[in-house]
Amino acid sequence: MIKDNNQLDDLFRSKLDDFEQEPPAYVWSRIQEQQAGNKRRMLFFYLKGAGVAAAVLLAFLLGWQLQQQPENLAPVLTDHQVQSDEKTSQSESSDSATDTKEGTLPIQESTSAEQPSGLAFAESGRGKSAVEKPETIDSNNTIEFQITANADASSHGRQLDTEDSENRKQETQQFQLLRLLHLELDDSFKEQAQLADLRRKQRETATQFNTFEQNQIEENARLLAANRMSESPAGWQLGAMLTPGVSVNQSSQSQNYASSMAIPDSKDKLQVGGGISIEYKTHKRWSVQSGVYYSKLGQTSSNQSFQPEALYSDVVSDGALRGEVAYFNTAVAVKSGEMLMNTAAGVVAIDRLPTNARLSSGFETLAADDGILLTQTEFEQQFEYIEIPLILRYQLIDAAFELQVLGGLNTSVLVGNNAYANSEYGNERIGETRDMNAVNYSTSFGFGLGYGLSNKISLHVEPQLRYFMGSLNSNSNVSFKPYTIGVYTGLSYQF
Amino acid sequence: MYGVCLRYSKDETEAEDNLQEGFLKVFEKIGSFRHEGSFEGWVRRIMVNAALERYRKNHLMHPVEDMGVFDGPELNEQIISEMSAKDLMKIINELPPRYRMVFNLYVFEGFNHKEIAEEMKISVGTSKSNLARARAILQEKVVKVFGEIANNYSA
Repeated sequence: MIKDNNQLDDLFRSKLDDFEQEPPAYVWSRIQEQQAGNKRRMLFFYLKGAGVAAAVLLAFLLGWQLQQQPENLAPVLTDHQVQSDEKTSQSESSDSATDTKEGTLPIQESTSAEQPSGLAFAESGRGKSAVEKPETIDSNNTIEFQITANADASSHGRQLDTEDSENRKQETQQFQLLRLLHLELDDSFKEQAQLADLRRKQRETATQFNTFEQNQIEENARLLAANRMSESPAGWQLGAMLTPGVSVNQSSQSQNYASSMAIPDSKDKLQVGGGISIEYKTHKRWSVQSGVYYSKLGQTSSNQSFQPEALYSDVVSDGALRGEVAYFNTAVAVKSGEMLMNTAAGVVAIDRLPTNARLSSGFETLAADDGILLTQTEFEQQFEYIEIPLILRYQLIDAAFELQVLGGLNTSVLVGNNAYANSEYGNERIGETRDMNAVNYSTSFGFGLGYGLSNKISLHVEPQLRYFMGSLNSNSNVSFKPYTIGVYTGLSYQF
Repeated sequence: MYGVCLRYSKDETEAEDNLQEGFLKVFEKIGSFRHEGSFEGWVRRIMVNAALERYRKNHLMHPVEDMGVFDGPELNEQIISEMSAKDLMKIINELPPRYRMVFNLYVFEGFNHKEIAEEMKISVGTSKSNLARARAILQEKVVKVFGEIANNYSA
C-alpha cells in the first residue's frame, strides 16, 4: 500500500525517469527546415544589401559605358592624331637605319666584352630601360627598331608587348654575339627566330590597335582637363528622382506606455519614393536645390511575443479558446467606444477589426476597460509625406563626372496616415495613428555623384542620410524619430 | 528527450513543439556548452526550460483555490506492478498545466519548492499546494484506472 507521498513520487520516478520514446520522424525534418529557414532569413538580408550595392554599381557602369560610346562615334581629332603619329614615326624610321646602328652596335660591343655572364645582365638591363622604348612599325614587313622619345607610352599592355619583342630582338642579338664568338648555333635557333618574327608581326597589329586606343584615352584626359579649366556658367537644372531607401526606426516610449505595447518589428523595410528637383547653380561651385518629393515611412508591429502582465489565461486554457492562446497578446484599450492599440510609433485607433481577429475582454481585474486582440496579424502603420527640401551643394569635382557634398533641411508634410493589418486574409486598413504631427523637419547630409550623359542631361546617384529633428508623433509618451538612408537616383536636365 | 518533453506536455503535439524548440536552442547554443556536466543533462535542462517558457507564455495565473490535505484512495502493490510507463505518462499529460509543471520539476528535476517558485514565478506556498493537489489527482487516477483493471482481473 502506498500511503505517503514519497512512495507515489518514487512510483512515477522509477517508471518514468528513464522512459524514452521515439519521436515521430517528421519532427526531425521540421527542426531541419526551421534551421534552414533561419539561415535563409540571414541570407535574404545580405542579398538585399548586395542588391542595393549592385544597383548603385550598375548605375555607375551604365554611366561609364554611355560616356565611352559618344567618343567612339566622333573620332575626328583622334584620326588626325594617329596620322600625325604615323608621320613622325615614319620620319623617325627613315633615320632608323643610322639610329639602329648607332643604338645597338655599341651595346653589342659592350656585351660581347663581358661574355658570357653579361648575357643575362644585358637582357635584364634592357628590359627595364624606359628610355630605349622601341616603336615597331610594320611598313614594309621588315622589322626595325627605333629609339623613340615618345614618353606617353604608359599603357602596360603595350609596354609588355614592346618589351617582349625587345627581348626577342635581344635574343637574336645574343645569337649574333655567339656567332662572333664562333659558336655556330645559328642552325639550331633558326626555327625559333622565324617563329619570333611571325609572332612579332601578329603582335604589331595588336600594338597599333592599342596605340589607337591609347590616343583616345589621352584625348579624353585632355578634354576632361580642358573641361575642368573652363568655368561652367550659372544655370538651372531640373531633375526627376527615384529614391529607394531604408528607414531605420528609432523610437522610445514611456514605461507605462510600453508595458501594453505591440511588439515592434526591427526589420527594416525598403521604401521607394520619388519626386522632382529643381537646382540653381551659381558661377562658382555652389548650388541650391529644392523640389517636391514623396516619401513613405512605416512601422510594423507583431504580436508574436507575449506580455505576461497582460495575460491571465488559465481561464482561457481550460475553456473554448484553448487553441488560440499562443497568439493572443495584443493589448488594446477600449475606452468610450474606441479601440486603442499602443505601438512603437504611436497609438493606433482601430476603427475596423481585422478579419481574423477577435476582441476579448482582458482578464485583468483592475482595468476593466482593457481588452485583448486575439489575432495572429501583423500590424503596419504607414505614413506618407510630401517633402520640400532646401539643400546646399558644393562641387568637389565639376567635370563630366561630378562629385558634390550636400546638406540641408527638409520640410515634410503628412499626407497619408494609415494602419493596416497584414494576415492571410490580405492587407486590410484598420485605422490610423493618433497624434501624428502634420509638419516635420529633418536634416539631410550626403554625397552627389553625377555623370554628364550629354551637355544637357546627366545621371545622378546621391546617397543621403536623413534624420528627423523631432518626434513624428506629438504623444508625450512616444518618441518616434526614424532616420532614413536613401539613394536618390535619377536624371537631370540643364537649361 | 522526447520522453522528457512528453512528461511536460498535455499531448504529443505540444511535446513535439517543445522538442523542436529545444533542439533549435541546442543547435544555437552548442558553442556555449562547457563540458562541465553531462551533455545529456545539459540538453535535458534546455528541454525543461523550453517547457517552462511555453508554460510561462501560456499559463500565467495564480491559483484561486487553496488546497489543503487531500485524502486520496490508496494504492496497493498489485496495481503498481500492473502499471506501464505509457499509462502513467498519459495520466501526467492529463494534469492541469501548472500541476504538471510543479510535479515534474519537483519529482523528476529534483527542484525544491523555492526553486520551483522562482522558475514559475509563483509563491512557495502555491508550489507546495500545487504539488499536493497534483499528487492527489495522480493517485486518484491511478487507482481509478488501474483499480478497475485490477478488480476485473480479480473478479
